[in-house]
Amino acid sequence: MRSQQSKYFLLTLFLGICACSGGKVAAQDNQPSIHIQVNMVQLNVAVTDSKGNYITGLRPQDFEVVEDNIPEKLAVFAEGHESVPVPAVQPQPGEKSTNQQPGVAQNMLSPSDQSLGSLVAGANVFILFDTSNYMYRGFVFAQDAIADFVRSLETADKIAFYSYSRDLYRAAPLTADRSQILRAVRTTVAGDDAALYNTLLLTLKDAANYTGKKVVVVFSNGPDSLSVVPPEDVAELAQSVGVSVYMISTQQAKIEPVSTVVFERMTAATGGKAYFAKTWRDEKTAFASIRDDLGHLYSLNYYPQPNPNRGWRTIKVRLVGDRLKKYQVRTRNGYRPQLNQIQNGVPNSAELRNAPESQ
Amino acid sequence: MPTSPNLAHQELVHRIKAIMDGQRLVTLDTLFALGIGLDEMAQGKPADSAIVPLAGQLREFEMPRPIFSRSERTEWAAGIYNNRHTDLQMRANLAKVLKSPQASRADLDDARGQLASFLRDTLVGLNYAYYEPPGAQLLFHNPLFVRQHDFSGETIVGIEHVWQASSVFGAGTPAGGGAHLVGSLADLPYVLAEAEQDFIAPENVQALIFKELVPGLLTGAVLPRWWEVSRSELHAAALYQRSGEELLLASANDTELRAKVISILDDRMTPSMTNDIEQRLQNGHADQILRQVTPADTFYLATEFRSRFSQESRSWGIATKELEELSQQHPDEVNRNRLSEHFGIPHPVLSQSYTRELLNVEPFPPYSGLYSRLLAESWDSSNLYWARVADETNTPPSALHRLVPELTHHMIEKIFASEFEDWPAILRAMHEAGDDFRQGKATAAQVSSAATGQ
Repeated sequence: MRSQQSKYFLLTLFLGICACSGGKVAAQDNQPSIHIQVNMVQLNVAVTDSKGNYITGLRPQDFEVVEDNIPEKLAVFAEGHESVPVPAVQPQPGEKSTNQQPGVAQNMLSPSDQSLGSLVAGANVFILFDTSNYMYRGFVFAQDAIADFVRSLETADKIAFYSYSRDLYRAAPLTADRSQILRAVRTTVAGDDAALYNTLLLTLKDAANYTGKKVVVVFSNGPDSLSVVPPEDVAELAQSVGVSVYMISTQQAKIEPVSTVVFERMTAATGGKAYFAKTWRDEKTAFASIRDDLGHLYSLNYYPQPNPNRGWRTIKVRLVGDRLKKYQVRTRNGYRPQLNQIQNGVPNSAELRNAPESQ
Repeated sequence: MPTSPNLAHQELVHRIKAIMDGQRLVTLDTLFALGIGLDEMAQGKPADSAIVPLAGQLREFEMPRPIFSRSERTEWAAGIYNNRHTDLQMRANLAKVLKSPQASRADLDDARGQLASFLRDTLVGLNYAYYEPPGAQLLFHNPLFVRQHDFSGETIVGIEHVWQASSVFGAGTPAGGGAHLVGSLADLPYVLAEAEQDFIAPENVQALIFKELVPGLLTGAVLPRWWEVSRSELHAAALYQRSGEELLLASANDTELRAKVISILDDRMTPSMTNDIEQRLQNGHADQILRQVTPADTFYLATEFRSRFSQESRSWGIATKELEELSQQHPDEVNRNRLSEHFGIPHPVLSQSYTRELLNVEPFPPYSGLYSRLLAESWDSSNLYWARVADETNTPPSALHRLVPELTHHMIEKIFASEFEDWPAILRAMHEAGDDFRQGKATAAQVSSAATGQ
């Protein structure tokens, strides 16, 4: 067995090397062609006073957006569901633009794919509900709170409802049909271990396929006993695809410090909020707070200025003028440009059947 | 979907590159160019200015944005979070040596030595990428996954023997930096599948035998390469299955034939299964059986019948007749052993080998521990069935490189078992995935988007 395994390892190593090395070294000729998508960056921004009240009526000129210390010009601006004109801004030269394809991160939209309508229309709300065995107690109350939340959202919003324990279950895809979502909420059942971060990653990837305002609302008991992906990677993905994460947890998470730390820091990094609800009333209050937040978010969109940084890019949003300095701004704090991965250069896969083969 | 071997190969290369990007690994070309450049400097030649930017690539790797402080990791993930290897790499600065006219021989030797850890990661990454399970996410979203591979396992408390077969370590520890593999690469395809399996979202909320079954199914789909498979072999695999079905149907009205058929199926089925089939045949319900016997059953029935009863001159239907003609034209390409190698699966637990073959054993129930793998290893129908689907949709053999993982992924999503020995649920899921593809409900592109992990 050991001998077979050794041979097997050597063979796989050889195959891997054959597949990816170019024979004789020719690094100059075979430089990896890394393209960075530099299309529009979208930010959901909440502005509040010291008591948490939302500040409304701000204009594009009230905001200053800086990416890696480079000032950015807003291309699209909206408050709630209403757009506000800003001077036309075109993508900057200097970085290679790429063809947007379905499934590619949509927080950085190419001009051809976006429309103002899609950017300022209602939010796309993905609800991720913990149905692990940690949730046996209070399961029905949680369902009620989610159902109330679904009913209370603006009609312009679309909702998807997913549940998770060991695996993700896409109970209802993104839809404006509230009854479909409510049915899905009522059909959930509890059981099995919890893999919150695995399933949140998959939910974020689904959300990333849509344009406009995107948020994920996680209702979780907190503990994660099974995920293989760490929360750092999930938070980075949320930031990079422009999805704000809101997390509502029960009291149990508060007494489990790991979950508390993750919930607070992940939501803060993505521009969302964390809630620790001791009772079912608190849960309803938390959902109401999220609904309010969605209704008051500013949408700031810009084409990044030329920036050689292929790694993490820091975003800072500030309010301009003395009268606004007292207010707090909440949004994601950066993103990592998406490297072109498998989409570019892959042969056209549209046609499978009846294909000739030349062997 | 690739329509020629060249395109299929190109697509596989792109997938491997995508994973190398996801893991933020440098290419072998870069590493060899740097190694050669340092060698030349050691021989007194000036540094090639072209390789200095390559050295910069080694420093481009960034750790994920931290959520936990160092002390929090120590408290909540003691013995699990360990990135000494990556920390050392991030301190390497070859560009400084390359730019320095005063670099000594020892400096150059040190710099060259630092390349070893990058080379290790790139080679390990290539192996990981080669066995990418469909639907993989860790490979794309955790850039430490490859770097954290711990061959010796010396740092792990509780591991008494180093360099064992690999296993997944660190799952369910949020402060631990993500799960990674510990051990050798000996069982890599299976362990990768084990690590990635829970990223497949079942269509039905309860999938009881997921954990026992899925890594094995994924391994059987990922391991094969189909470059040597011809159209005739693909067709033969389909014809054997259809010929087996013709035998079953014919045996409903032929007592003597039925006895022969049941005696053959007895090799691969439990007594209750063969009894059920015999009953249904006797009662004239042969058509019901066709969705209950597995492709491996019908394949075995047809091949074994030809072998045991070679003097039988009757033809049981069109497929049997066509199979006979094909075997006369291309005897090697209808050879059961050859088809077994092409469309079989590995049985690392049952036969202690990764060689692909059709073992023709009775189905095993799910056990715990290592023996939970027997369930999947005794299910050797999937690749045979995908071959049939490909043949019937005129799909070229090279397209199996994409079709097999994607359809297996789609099949796994559909598994809806209501008991631990629910074999019909697996068969049903496989048929549904194949039907979706045949009917264009799940085109290659649609299936692909779910399975690529992109």
